[in-house]
Parts: sequence; structure tokens; C-alpha cells
Amino acid sequence: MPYIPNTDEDRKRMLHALGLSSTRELFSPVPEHLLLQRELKMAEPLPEVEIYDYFERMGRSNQIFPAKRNLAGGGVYRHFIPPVVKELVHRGEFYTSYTPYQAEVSQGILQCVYEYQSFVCMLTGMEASNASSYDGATALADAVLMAANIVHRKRVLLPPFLHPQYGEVLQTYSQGRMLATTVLPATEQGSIETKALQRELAAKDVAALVLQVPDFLGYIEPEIPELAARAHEQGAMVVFVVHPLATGVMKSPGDLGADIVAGDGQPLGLPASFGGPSFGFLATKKRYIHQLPGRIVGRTTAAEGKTAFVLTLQAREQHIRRERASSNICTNQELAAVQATIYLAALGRSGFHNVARKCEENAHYACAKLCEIPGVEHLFSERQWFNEFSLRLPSAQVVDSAYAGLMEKGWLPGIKLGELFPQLQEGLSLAFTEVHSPSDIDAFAADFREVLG
Amino acid sequence: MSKLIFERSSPGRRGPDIADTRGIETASPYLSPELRREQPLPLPEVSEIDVVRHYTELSRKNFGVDIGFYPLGSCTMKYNPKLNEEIASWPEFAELHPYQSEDTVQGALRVMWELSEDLSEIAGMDAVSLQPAAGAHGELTGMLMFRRYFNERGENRPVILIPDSGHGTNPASATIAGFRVREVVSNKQGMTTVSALKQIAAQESKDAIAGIMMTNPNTLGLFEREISEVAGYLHEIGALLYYDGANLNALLGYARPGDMGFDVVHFNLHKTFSTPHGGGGPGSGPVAAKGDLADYLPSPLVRRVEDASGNARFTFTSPTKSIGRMKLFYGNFLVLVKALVYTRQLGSPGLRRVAENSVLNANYVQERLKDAYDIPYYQRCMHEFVVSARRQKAESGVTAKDIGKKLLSSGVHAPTTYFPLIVPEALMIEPTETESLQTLDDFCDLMLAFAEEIRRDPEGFKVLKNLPVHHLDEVTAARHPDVCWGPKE
Repeated sequence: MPYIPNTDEDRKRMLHALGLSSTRELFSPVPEHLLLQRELKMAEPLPEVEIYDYFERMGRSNQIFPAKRNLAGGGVYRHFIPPVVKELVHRGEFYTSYTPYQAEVSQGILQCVYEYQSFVCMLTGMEASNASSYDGATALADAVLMAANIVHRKRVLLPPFLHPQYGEVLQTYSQGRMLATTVLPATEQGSIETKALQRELAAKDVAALVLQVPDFLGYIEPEIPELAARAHEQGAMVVFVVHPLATGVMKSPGDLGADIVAGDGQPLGLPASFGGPSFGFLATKKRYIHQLPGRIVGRTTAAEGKTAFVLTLQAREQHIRRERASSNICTNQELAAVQATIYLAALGRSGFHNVARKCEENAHYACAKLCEIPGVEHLFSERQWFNEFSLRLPSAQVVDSAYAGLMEKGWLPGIKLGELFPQLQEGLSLAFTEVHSPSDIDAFAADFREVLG
Repeated sequence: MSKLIFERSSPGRRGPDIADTRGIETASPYLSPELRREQPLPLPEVSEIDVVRHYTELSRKNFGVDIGFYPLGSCTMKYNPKLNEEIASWPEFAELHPYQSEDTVQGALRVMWELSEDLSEIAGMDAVSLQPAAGAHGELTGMLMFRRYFNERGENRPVILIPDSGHGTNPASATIAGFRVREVVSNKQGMTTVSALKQIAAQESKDAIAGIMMTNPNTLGLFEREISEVAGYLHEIGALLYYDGANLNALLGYARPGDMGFDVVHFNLHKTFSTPHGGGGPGSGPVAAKGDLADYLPSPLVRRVEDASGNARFTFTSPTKSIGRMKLFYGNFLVLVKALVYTRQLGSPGLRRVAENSVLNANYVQERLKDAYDIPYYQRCMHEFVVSARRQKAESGVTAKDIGKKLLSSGVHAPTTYFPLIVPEALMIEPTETESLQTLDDFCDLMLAFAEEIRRDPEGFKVLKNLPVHHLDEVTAARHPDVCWGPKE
């Protein structure tokens, strides 16, 4: 049997030491009526060679789009991952370890997490980061629950084009604490209707204003600092959901008025993975560190004055505080966060800037190119965006036929918006990254023109 | 300590050239001045070899299952097969985009469906959601399902019962889901009994109790003998049972939570099903449910349908009364791939062998240690057991913590210490089935030699050698938190 080193002889010796004659007797503490009297109904075990065949067959019924032909975003992007990242994160010392409770033999992971927290603070303009959340959506839910606890209010304002799944997860998480959510109306250009925002805030029951930057359609609110200031005036906290690479070209959320910043780390060196695992990041100002859920690593000293790293502020956590903990999180997404740390270190100052700028440049080139096609319009032409934008086609039927036609030509042509936002039946969102060259974009535009023919 | 990556930076040094940089050196020409970043963020400026050496150096300061014995109780630190890692890294799985249409991801849905079927059968449940990302995430899912279930029925049941031996995540999860927690006191044998439940019901009223969260085997490594009676009583008063699957390894193919009367179960794929812990995740905590409760699972689930000519296809569905979505997309998908590789490789006979050997290994180690250390709840254990260093502490002033640290300095990971809370000076030992008799004997010899040394020279015992760092100042770390490096330092 694979992975079980005891031989029959070993087992015999061990049973003998226990005064037993069969392994069945080991289960004597289980009442007889609960012992399963049959084999489990499962597929027959397979040797390794056949496991390969088995999974190759399943793999073949998935369609893989080459990086250059993948234009879908929606929070998950196809970036180039330097080989050095995969190589290092796959060291057994990292991935076969547990949560670093025993700091003496976990300085490697602990220092990686400290570096991770430092990167997150740098990107977000915050002062304290947790060691990771499950993903961007649960990080937002954690951020909102945290804000509600800090200001003792129970209503949350959401932007009109928040990632729909972030909204759904927030809704689920809110059930326990009975939080109410209000989705703010949009202007014709899809940004937050400021008069409506003002009205909602004036009720003075708002715990948090959530801003997603960029939002699901790809757009960046034009007057972020003003929106944040209005929320603060009315005693609400400002929670940002941010695309981490956008901070390469945009001011940090901390400089734009954020109190808590959440987001998904997939763009930082992780494959799309059918949506998981990625990780969520969650950061805040130092004065809220005691309300921050999740593990936190701190730097301290050890014997002989050595610098060392340790899980800290554990008095917030479930294994100490039990029902009074700031969250229930135990296992998080640590290895994925370490992967992002290595990615950011590998890119460095100029690499990070270049990748962010390249995404922005490609998306802007693509938008201009595609909008030259008759029947194709930019959905919100007066807005600013980063790596993703949305188009308006003549009708929902045209979206369907263009999408199908482009798929046939080997493209993953973005996301049909009508399935997610009923008011955007004619919408199609597209994302570009540094993997796309101008000639890829030209080829896509040519195919697009042809399918609209 | 190793330098931080930030401290290895030299102005102008660069890593791999990823993108053609022509025309993009400047700040964004597209964003308004109010939003635009003018100077690049101060990320470290290092070359690729610096990155390789830095993180390789850090990895060498980390202990994993690949390095040595890791008997960390409740965590099931079994071997992580390399085959799992290999297959999950294939582009056919790793490069799938979650917004691809269903017909282009049939292989992925099949993986999810097959794993759901296996998990249902293993736990004796009717349906599975693969969405939760970790055990505690599964617990929160289960508690929100309980909550919605009673809301739908118009019942107000604010109380969740949790044995005093339960994991810390249990009360935290129940509280976040809006419940109030009542602790159930274990009896002298470390068991949860119907009479303890009846006592609480008498104080709270039967109608106030929503249910119980239990681990079985419990955190003492003992099978809850009264479980059928506990389930019978709770169902009789209209309450539900939640199974914390952290300790399922002991029972694979031998006993099923569904048969014991549990209504909702979570699995820890990163424990029982051999996917790695990754230094604290990504894990995966699928949740299964039975009967009416299956309607409340998070969406989406995967269903197999057949067309007129009998061809199978797989599709996402949403349970009728679903609590909603717990996580983005479909859970930690690549972890699910690894777990299915494991169940396909082992099948039913292999899983039963896992249970047998995990229980055999634990009992063998318990037997060898039982004279040198106190075992307050000594009896036939399942996959783990808990020794107490109370004798060592009373006689020599040596604590469970000292013993744990001494193990670390001897090349073995420490057991879980000071848990469960009902055992003083607890050392919770879970060898797992992937360790050989030789490894177990080496560990036992070491622990017996420790007991001897503690008696002979307790002060000498406490001296730690061979550790890169020890005696970390946790108090200052918490009082003056230094949690991120800043370029201004």
C-alpha cells in the first residue's frame, strides 16, 4: 500500500506489544453497530502509471487557452510567472510544514510572512497586514465585519459594480452579525452617484463605504479622496478592495483615504487555478491592529539578542480566546502568500512598475483598437481604467454570437456581462496583461471585426 | 537572523526582465494627477540569484514533514505525496480560468463531482460543497446552515453546545454565525454524555439548543462511545449535530459520521487526504450534509446529468435553500485535484489501511510512553493520544513546553502542547500512518531518555542546543508590535 511503511512483520510486532492479535481489535472502542461491515463504494485503487492516464483523460476534457489568447479577467488574470517563483515555493521545507506555532523551527516561513506583510503594507499604504485571508471576497467580508465592530454600526454601502461574488460572500458572512447592505446607484458613466452616497451617509448608521478599485467592469472611481472624505465626515470607515498590481501605477489606497484595504492576491504570481487557491490580503492602520482578524507575524528578539520572528497578538485568536476571538480563522492561504512574496521580490522596484505599466498600456491600446470596429463602443468612455475595460455591442445576441465566434477562433474572449448584471446585456469585459503583445491585440481585433462582420 | 529581502537591495539592480520596457518607464499617462503614482514603489532591487539564495536560505530554517517526524496532534501531519503535487500543477488544471463556460471545463467539474461522491460515501452523507477553504471555514459554513435551517422553520435556537475538549475554532465559528456557546463538561473518561447535555438543557430549555459541534474521535484521541445516544437525544429535542472532521483519519472506511447521527460534516483535505499544509494553507474544508440539511449547502454544487443517448455531462447547481456563497468560485480547486489523486490511488482498501495504521501507530507509541509519562485518560486510543507532563512539572519543574522545545532541538517536531485544555501540561501526539516502526521507536527512545534526564538533571534538560533561535520574546512582540518593514527605518 503506498505511503504506509509498516510491513506485515512490523504490524505483527506492534500488535503483539499491545497484546492484540488483529488490527480489527484496534477499533474495539467503536460500538459494534457503528462499524462499517463493508468496503466503501469507491473506484478501485490505481497504480501511479494509471493515475497519470486517468487524470490526463480528465485534463483533456478541459479547454486550455494559451496565455496570449486568454482575455478573461473578473479578478483572475493570466500573468507571466517567472520560473524562479514556482521553483522556490515548491521547496518541501515550505509546503510540508504546518502553521508556524513553533517559532524555533519555523523562522523560514515566519520571515517570509513578515516580508509578505511588509509588501502588502507597501502596496496598500497601510501599517499592519494579516498573514492572509482565504481570498479577496472573504478578506472583504472580514474587513466589513471589522469595521462594523469598530464603529458599532450595522450598514454597509457597496459600489454599483462590485465583483458580484464579493457581494455574495459578504451577504453570506453578514448573516451571523445581521449586517445590512445597500448598493449605491450609478451615474450614466457607471461611477458612484455622489448625491445618493451623501444621502445614505447622512443617516449616520453606515459602518463602512466599500470602494472597489478598479471595479468589476475595470473602472476606477474618479474622485476617490472626496468620496472617502465624505464617508469619514459621517463617521463611516472606508474599505478598499484593490487590484494589487494597480498600485504600481496608482497611488496607494492609504494615500487615497482607506482605513482598511482588502484584495485578492492571484495577480501576484499565482496561476488562474480555476479560481483557487489564491489568497486574500487584508491590511489596516496600526491603531486597528487589535481588531484585525487572522494570523499576524511580528519581529522580536530571542536569546543572545538575535532577531527573530513569531506569531504575535495571538490573544485575538480562536485558539486562545475561543468564542471571544476576533475571527475563527486558523488555516489560511500561507503558501500562496509566500508565492506572492517571492514574485514581488523577483520583480523588484522596476519589474513591478513595468508589469503594471505594461498591463495598462496593452489594455489602452486594445480599447482604442477595438473601438475602431463598427458596432463596438466603449461602455464608459469618460472613465479611467487600468488593465480591464468593458465594451458595448449592439445587442445581447451580438455578444453571444461574437463570443462564440471568437471562441471558435481559439480566444477566451472576456466575460459576458449580461449574465452578471442584468442592466448590461450588451456588455463584454476584457482584460489584458503583460503577456499580450501589440500583434496579439491586432490579431484579436481582426478576428473581432470578422466575427461581427 | 537572515537579512530581510529589503535589506539586500542595491539601487539599480534588477530581477528577470519580464516585459518589453520601451515606452513604459514613465508614470501612468492615463490616470488623473489626483490618482497617479509618480514614483515606483520602493520594492527591493535585487537580482534573480539574490532571490534564489534568500528564499533557499529561509527554507532551510523551516521544519516540514519532508525533513522529519512531525507528531503534531490534531493536525495529521502525514506524508504529502509528490504525485499529488505533480498532477495539480498540470496546465490542464492550473491554467483554467473560472469564467470559462461550463462546456470547456468538463474535466474540472468531473474532478469535483468524483471527489464529492467519494467524500459523501466516506462520511455517510448525501451531498457535498467543495467551497470552504479550510476547516474553520467549513465550521462557519455549517453553523450558518444550522442558523438558516432554524430560521426557515421559525425556531429561535440561540445556543450551540461544544465539549470542553473541542477545538478553539468551534466556539469562534459558532459565535461568528451568531450563536451563543455553552461548554459541555466531559466525564472522567473524557467523554461527552447524554446526562451532561440534559443538565444544560434543563438550564437553557430544550428549545433553545440549536445543536452541538463535536470531534470524534475527540481531541483526547478517544472515540465518543455514547455518540449514538447523544445524537438520539439531540434529534429528539429538535437539535442538530455538526462533525468537526479534523480527526477523521482514524475512521476511514471503519466508521462514518453519518451513521453516528451527524447532520453536517466538514473534512480537512489538508489533513486526512494528504494535501499539504503549506505552512498554514491553502487547505480545503468541504462540507457535507444529510437529508434536509443538504438543501442549505453553499452554492454551487456539481451535478452529473445524462443526455438522451446516455452521455454524462457535469453542471453547476444551487441547492434550493442555500446559505449562499462562502468563497470565490469553486473552492481551492487545485487542492481538490490533489485529494482526488489520493482517493483514486488508495481506494477503499487503501483508506482502511490508513485508518488501521494510524490507530496502530498511536497505540504503539502510547504503550511505550505510558509508564514514563502520565496519561490521564489512558485507554485504547484512536489515531492520537494525550500525555501529561504534570508529574515532570511537579517533581522537576520541567513543563510540557520544555519537552516540546527539547524535541525541536533533537530534530523532531513538537507535539501539540497545552491542548486540549482539560489536560494539564498536555502533549498531544499523533504519529500518522506514514511513519515506520523505526521512526516511532526512535521517538519513543528519545522521549524515554528525556524522562530519565528530567529526573536526573532538570536544569541541564532545559538547556537548548542546535536551534537557530530560542527563547523568543513574545511579550515585547505583542506589546510593541513590529509587523512590517518600512523604508524609513
